[in-house]
Amino acid sequence: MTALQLCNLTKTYPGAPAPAVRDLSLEAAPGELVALLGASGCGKSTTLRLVAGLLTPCRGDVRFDGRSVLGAPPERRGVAMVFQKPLLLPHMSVGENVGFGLRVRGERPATIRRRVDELLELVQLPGSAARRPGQLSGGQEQRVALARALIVEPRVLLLDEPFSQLDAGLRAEMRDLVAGLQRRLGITTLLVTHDQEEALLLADRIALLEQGRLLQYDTPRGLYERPASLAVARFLGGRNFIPGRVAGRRFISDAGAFELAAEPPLQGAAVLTIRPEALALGCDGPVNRLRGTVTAARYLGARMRYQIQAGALVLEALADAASLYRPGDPVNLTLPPERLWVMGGERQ
Amino acid sequence: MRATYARLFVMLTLLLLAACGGQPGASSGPADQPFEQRYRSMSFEQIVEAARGQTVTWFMWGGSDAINAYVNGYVASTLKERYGITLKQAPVTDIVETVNKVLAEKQAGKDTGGSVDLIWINGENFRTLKEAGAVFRNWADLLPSNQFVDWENPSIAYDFGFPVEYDESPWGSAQFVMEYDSARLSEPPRSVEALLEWACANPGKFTYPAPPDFTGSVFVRHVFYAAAGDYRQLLGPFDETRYAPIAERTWQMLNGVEPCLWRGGETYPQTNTALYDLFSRGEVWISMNYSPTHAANQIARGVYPATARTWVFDTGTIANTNYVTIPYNAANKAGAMVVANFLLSPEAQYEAAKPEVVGWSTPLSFAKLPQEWVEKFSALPRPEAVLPADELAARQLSELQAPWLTRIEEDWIANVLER
Amino acid sequence: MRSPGSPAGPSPPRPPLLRWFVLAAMVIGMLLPIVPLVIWSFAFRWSFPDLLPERWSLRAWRYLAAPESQVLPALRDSLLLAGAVTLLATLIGVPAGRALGMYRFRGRAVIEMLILAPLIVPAFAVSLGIQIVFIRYGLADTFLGVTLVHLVPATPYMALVMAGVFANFDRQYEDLARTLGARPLQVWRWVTLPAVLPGLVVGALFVFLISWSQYALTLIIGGGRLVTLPMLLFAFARSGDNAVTAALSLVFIAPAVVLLALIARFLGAAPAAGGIRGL
Repeated sequence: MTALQLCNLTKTYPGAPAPAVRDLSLEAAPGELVALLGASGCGKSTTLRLVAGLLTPCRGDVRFDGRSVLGAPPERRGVAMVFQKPLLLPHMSVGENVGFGLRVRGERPATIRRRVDELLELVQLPGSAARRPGQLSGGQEQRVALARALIVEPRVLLLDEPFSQLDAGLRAEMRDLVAGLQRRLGITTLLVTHDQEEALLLADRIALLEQGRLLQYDTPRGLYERPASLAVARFLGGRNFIPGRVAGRRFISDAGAFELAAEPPLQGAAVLTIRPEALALGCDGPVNRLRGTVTAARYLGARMRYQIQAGALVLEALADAASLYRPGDPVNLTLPPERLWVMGGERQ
Repeated sequence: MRATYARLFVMLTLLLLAACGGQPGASSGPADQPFEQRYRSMSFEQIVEAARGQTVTWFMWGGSDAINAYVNGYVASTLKERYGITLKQAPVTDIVETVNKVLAEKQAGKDTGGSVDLIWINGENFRTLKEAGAVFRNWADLLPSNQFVDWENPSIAYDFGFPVEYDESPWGSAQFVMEYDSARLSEPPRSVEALLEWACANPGKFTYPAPPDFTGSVFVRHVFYAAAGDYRQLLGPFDETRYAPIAERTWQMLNGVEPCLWRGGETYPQTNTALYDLFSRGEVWISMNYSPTHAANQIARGVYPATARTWVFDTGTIANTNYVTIPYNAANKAGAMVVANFLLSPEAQYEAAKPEVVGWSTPLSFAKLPQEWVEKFSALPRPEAVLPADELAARQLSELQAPWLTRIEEDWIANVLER
Repeated sequence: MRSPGSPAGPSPPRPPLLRWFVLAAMVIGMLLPIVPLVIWSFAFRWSFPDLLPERWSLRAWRYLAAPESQVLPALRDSLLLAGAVTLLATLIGVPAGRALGMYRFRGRAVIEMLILAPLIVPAFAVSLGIQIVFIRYGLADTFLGVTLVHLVPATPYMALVMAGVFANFDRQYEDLARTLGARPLQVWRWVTLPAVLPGLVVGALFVFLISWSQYALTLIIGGGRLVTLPMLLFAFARSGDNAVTAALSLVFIAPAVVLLALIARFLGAAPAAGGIRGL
């Protein structure tokens, strides 16, 4: 159980115009699973490699349990990594692959055999030590890669988009497996992903990165319901952004004035947002009522997605599948104050 | 990884530098004065003593299994037993490579401890070496075997018209002979003109290698001699006024016979080996060679038909000598001299002359050899394809100086090949 | 990579008849020229237009077997020389190939050109100059000198082959091994080497053959003191003695054929992680 700290990490690749990781600071408590979330090129893989020791930062520090590990090469940091591709060594058997980390440490063959069997049980591939990587499916290979990483009992487990190459059904299975194992073994884990659903599902906390900078570091609910900025909100699939300004407990915009549940700390120019599923259709609440027309309706299985024109505003709403609005229908909307969220405008 | 590569590179460079310890040159005599300065006042026994334990590296043409066997077997073991000298044969394809090697060593300033001790050489190659100042001078007369050599004979005292001056020691002799298949013609044509007439009477059955091939070149010189009438006026430095009219007649003769040659003269064999191939396959009925015993050797090897024979023109054929010489920077000069002496000795010459060993032609003069050796040589079985030694000796012409040779070769190409 | 989720499939279908035919034609085409050599080496007298020699003989082989022919020492020296050159070219060429194939660095184009220059400029052209320098440094006529000069045409091949192999090599395998605790030497032994081995063996074969068949370079630098098989062979090739030439040729070809057979399993084997897809 190791506490992980990143302090002002900065890394610029030689010849690159801008840093890949810019002044990144965060900490993970022992046993926590932290997701590094962001679009491609945002610096999340670079961060992972900095923690692993495969890259050296230009500035900043990486600390395990408060002690800097920058002096140690990857093979002595006590990290283990799982990549997008399983990268099983093709000339070794499954058992030899899994036991690799112990082998290079000079463990006794009997110990290695025992531990390999244990780990293969753990990843639900019992008795496959003698098989060869070529005989396994993609999902099975990835599980072997996981076993291989866990066998060395790393202080920090690093996962670099390990599910992205699996098809949807397998992905869900693997996610459950990893989540379960991580919780059971209590290994501090950094998970890199571009899939926000995955991050929300697995992480204790999420670090959202954009162009090397940390936009927000919060619990999933925090990120989702209280995004710090427009960029964060957009990344997490937010819609319905209404620019305007905050005056006390009210939000003034061209589309009208809205009551807020509490006086926000942010005053002045701001952006109001509400999640599509929070819009109340067809009811007249006490405040924040709007009248609009449905311009598009899409069936999503469990829900309906509507696009609604209300004055100058175009809003997106998610409602129960049982609601039966059709394009052209008039509709009453209410924006519940407690579901409204105010944040700063676009970053410069 | 880059650091490892850099380290490797440094290690390799150090290895290279460490290797420049220079070659240990074998000294050939007491440490006080180098051999090169004392040798003329030494007796041959003293030279033999100085040579004991040396390794002599002899660069020679390696294309004859018979000669290789003779040198690496009989010669090497006798030298070892008798003189404690180790003979190492360095076989080459063309001795000009060795000449270039010695010249390169000279250019690099390696004036002692050279890697070549002895060279089997003659003609142009010897001249190149000597004119570059790269031969060990004036030693052949010190050899005891030398008393059996007739240095009055211009074929020995002059190497292709170039004075030898004891800078090389004779080893073998060569006389140009014509070869023919006696099953095809009973009487070979006895003069150059008769040969050309015969060629046109039997179209396609005669050709000669294209100069600058050694053998083809000397054949053309025979035609040149025939065109000259009396070749002795040509001995001496090159003379354009004498050369021009004879050359003109020579090209007339050769161009005249060209349509009667093999393949209508459209193409000439590029090497003497190519001509032997044609002869051994029966495509042509006449061949030619610098060695009187070549035909007999080829019969014994199964390359020539058993009916092959040799003849020389009534007016004679060109003869020359081949030698061994010592480079100026040779590391083991005493040993080289002892080897040269043994090679020239009647005993070694007799062994080589045996048809089953090499079938060698000796440069030793029968007039100067003791009677017992004369008898032994005469008693050697002489294959039918080899002419008797006295007949050959009676019909010897000597070579011209090198500038004549090169000019004849060039002009043949311009006036016969390209017409 | 196989598509995710697919089970291990059946073995690939047998190649069509046409492929077998082409393969057979190639093998025959390679072996056929050896047949006349074999016949010639046992021939006493063989002239056109006979299909077979009219008389047979063991003369050529007896000569080769005799110590006077220097064949056995030449064979030994050729083997030692080619072996040394292969070893050194590998030690130099593998890191060089790795640097060229895997890294981008300043001056890379220039270095690439320098390393590959011997492929464009024949070594013979610069050998005379090399000879002068070697004479001064006492490297002429030595085994070491000839080894070094053979490295000139040989190393670029190894570097080129390895550059291709490493370009296809996924670096992440090495990263992975390091994170699992493998030190650099262990990474090399367990991950990199097995992956590049097929390509390395092919490169080593190239290098061996280049050194094995060198004539001019060995002649100029070794100067006849170091006698290798090609030198014996060339001396006879122009002598008209076809039987000995043929026998020597067979002795010359034999080790190369043996080597080829030994490493055949590396050629066309399913590429490992690094593989030789580039070839």
